[in-house]
Amino acid sequence: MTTFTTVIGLEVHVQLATASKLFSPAPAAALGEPNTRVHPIDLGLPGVLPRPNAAAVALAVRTALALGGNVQAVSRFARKNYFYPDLPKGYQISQYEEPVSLGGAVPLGDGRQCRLHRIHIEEDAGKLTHTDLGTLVDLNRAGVPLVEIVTEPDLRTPADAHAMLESLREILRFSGVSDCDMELGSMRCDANISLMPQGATTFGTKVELKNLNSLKMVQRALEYEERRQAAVLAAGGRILPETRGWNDEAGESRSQRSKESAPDYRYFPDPDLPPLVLEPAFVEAQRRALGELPAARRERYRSRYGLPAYDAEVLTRDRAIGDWFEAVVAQGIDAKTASNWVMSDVLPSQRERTAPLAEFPVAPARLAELLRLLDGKVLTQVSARAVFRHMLDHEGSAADAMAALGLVRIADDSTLQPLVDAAVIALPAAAAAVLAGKERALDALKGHVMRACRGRADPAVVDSLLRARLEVLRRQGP
Amino acid sequence: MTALWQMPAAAIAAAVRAGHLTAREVVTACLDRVHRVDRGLNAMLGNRSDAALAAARALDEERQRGQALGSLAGVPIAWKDNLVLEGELATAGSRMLEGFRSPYSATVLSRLQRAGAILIGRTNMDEFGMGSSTETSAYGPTRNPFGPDLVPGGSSGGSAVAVAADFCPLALGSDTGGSVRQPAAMCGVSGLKPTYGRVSRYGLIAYASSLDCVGALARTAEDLALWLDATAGADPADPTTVPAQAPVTPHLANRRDLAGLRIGLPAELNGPGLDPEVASAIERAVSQLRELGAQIVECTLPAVAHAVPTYYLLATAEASSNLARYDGVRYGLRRDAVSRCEPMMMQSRSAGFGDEVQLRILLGTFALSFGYHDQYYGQATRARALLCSEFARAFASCELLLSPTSPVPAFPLGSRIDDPLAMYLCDVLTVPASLAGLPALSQPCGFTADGRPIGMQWVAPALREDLLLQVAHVFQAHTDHHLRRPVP
Amino acid sequence: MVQNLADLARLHLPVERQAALLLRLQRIVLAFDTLRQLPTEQAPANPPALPPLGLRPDVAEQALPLAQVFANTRHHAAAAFVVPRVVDA
Repeated sequence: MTTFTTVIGLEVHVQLATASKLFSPAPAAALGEPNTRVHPIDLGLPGVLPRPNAAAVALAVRTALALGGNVQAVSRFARKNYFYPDLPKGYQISQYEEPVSLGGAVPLGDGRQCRLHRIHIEEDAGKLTHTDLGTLVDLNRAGVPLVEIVTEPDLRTPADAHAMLESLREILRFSGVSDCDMELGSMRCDANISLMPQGATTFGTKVELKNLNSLKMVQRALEYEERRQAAVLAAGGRILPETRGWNDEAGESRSQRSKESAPDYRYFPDPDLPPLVLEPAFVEAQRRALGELPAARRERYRSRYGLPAYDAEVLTRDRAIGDWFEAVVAQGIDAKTASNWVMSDVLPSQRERTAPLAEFPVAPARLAELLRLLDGKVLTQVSARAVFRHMLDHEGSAADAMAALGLVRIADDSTLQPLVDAAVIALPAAAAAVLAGKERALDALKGHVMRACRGRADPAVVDSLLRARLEVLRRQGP
Repeated sequence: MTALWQMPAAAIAAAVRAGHLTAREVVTACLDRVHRVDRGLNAMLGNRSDAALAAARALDEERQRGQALGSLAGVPIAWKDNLVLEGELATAGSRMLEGFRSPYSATVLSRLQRAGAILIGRTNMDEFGMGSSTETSAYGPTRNPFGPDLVPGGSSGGSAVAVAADFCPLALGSDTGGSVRQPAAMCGVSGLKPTYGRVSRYGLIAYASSLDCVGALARTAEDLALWLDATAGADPADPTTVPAQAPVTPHLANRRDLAGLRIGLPAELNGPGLDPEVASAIERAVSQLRELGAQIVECTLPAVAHAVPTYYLLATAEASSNLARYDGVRYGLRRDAVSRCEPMMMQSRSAGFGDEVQLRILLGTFALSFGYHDQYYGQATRARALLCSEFARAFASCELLLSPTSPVPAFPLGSRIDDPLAMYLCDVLTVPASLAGLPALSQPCGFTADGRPIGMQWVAPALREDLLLQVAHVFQAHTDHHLRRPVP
Repeated sequence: MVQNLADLARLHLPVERQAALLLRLQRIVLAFDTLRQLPTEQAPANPPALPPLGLRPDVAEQALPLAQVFANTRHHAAAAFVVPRVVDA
């Protein structure tokens, strides 16, 4: 029985996070009532001309840099000509022979990577809704900026395709290029899959899969198609070069009726748009704006901060999380402590609030203050958590929170002196050790006082009272 | 006493600014003339009488308030119906856009309004700019006032006639392969095609994007200069525009004669195939230019031999793409009672486009199609580059090039329309400058024995409209062809 | 061949017109074939130099009001353009 190698390539369309569209100043956000984000340029009205968006170009360059692509100093927009009701001009402005980037790769997470063929900029089409009345056309999405990322056929399993998309999504989210949400449509994926018989030197006939609306669906569809093609080939049949739509409910792919085997798009350079020339300074600026990528940051958290892999993973899910964590550490807080608190307290609370981390009610400096108190044993873990929860809903410092919660440090001598005396009497060995010069033994005495007042004593006062008491003892002699 | 409707734009603007004339008077006179004369000519597709008079009134009130007025204050201007004006109809001479009203204005028209010009109405044209006689318009042909049953040239035939018949001193056209210059020549007026990119195309209904230029027709070089200064300059809405250049009007009268000017006469544009009367009119003009001090030099542009195919392959290729938006979905003619989308598009397009437009779309689609793309579109692109380098070489030994504008004077209506290829070959003298993106100007230089105008064409290096207009101005100072009007 | 071009260009050509149109096209294409003789190897890389591509600052502007979006068609319902059913939907 012949074994086959599965060969998979992906074409991913990613919507760039710009304020306005690629060639018109209409708002890019594709949500909202139909046809309320349309400019004469998007309608393809007689006489309009495209006006290219600077931020879209910047984000496209950032995409290329984040994926290790070779940014081309000169690229050209080209017209892809075809007719469809969601395509207002009867052509899509895209890039053909001269795309903005060539090459690059997406890491698969285990040291392997999927090479990229090219990345280019193009405009999105509108949306069609099929009803009994006919087909409804909404042009809100028409003209939204996209990058199309085309891979080499390097993927060998559906699981790898899933991993590649996850990695791509993480990198692009991290880079601020797109929110890459397949459910919302800001990331879309078509897959090409073929089976190559063992020992063959050329790839088998590839089938294109469409209508893949989530990462899991991509994997499911590829798994199904892999099985389907294997069955056809095992039975001695031939794979037809076709496009198949994935039907997730039915769990199968279905051939899409298409008239032409390969449509003739009659590409030519768009005469309304001079060549896109990218100065090295501009590309450098994008590289700087890109900052550190997730993999590099994870490595740095492991080596510089000594964080375990799990922590590094969570803290680099989002650039904002890592930045926040580092802001806490910059206040002099131990990295692991900061990490623990971010993972188990800050993030869960933030998720509840659904607001971005930048708007989190407890700023890194405030948390740092709290953690210093915790470190100084002014607070216990339990009381610290209580203080944290209080600070989420109330302004003011950790100390204010402590006061409000009745956790204020006792600092007056009259209250503390008896506790100090009691500690010295209760732990004579520790007292003797301190007098003998073992400073560390003071901690045991302090701890005794703290426990006696449930952690609320001012450590500095306790410290000075203890020392004074021990001094007296020393003078009194054995 | 010159009738108001015979005054050049420069004189009108000066008089209105000085308070000797009101905009209202001028506009009324011109609209009046249109109503009296256009019936037999069909130059105008629609007049904007109420809005024009209101704009004139507003301008007059501004003057009374002591506000400074623009360079074209009170000047009535007609525009070719492929330029859009907010709230007004725009048909591009086609059934496809019958009833279409634009929600925005072409940059060129906005700039003219800001300069105080009064836009009076839309002129007839070959459908979507595709034609050389204004016979492919879906709204009937326009007639040449110089002879019954003669074509006015095209595609800006309506604008040429508007100026020739004194409806207004200045009219806007568009020139893709000669569509301003050739009708100017056939109607005895001057026409300017600026350097590609000098005037914004935003709001010009596209025919061939890399060739289309907004141009103007008028009787005098001075009026064309005023028009250029008021409308030229970079436009963020058109990425193919070039930065603004120094104004040309202040330097227009710098030359008294043509001493020191070297004029090249490209052999390929001045040779065989010319109507004998055209050839002799050019000869006479060349003598006059010599008398004015110019030096005539020979030059050659071998690639001109292939200019017509080069032009038509590139122009129709771009047109096939530019006209794809007319699918009946969002605007324009739509065939109802078709139950599936694709057939609806096909039937709408076939009903909305005339024969010549459909022919050119097919030709352009062919030039771009798989298997033929490089042989035709690709080769034409390369031929175009070659022609550009030949022009550059020619300008090394002269300041301007000269040739007839059209190989033939105005021909009878209906005499060439059934032979597209023959019609295309008439463009041989104008398409080279279009392909090279160079500025060109046609001005009257004589008449046939039976009174049909003959025009000569100047071509200058890129952005040297100042040269074109200065030289045209000098020629007009020493001749009177440009003043000859059709017999009423 | 004409039918294929007509399909690509979404033009409906009645059968009776196809022959005449094909003839016209062929004549023109034949006449234009002379272009192939032009030695274009010496042609410089680019035709008329275009200005460098200027980029627009990414500022969202007011969109067209719905009334204007649909001002030139009556084929709309529920804020959407309506077309007859697309076949391969």
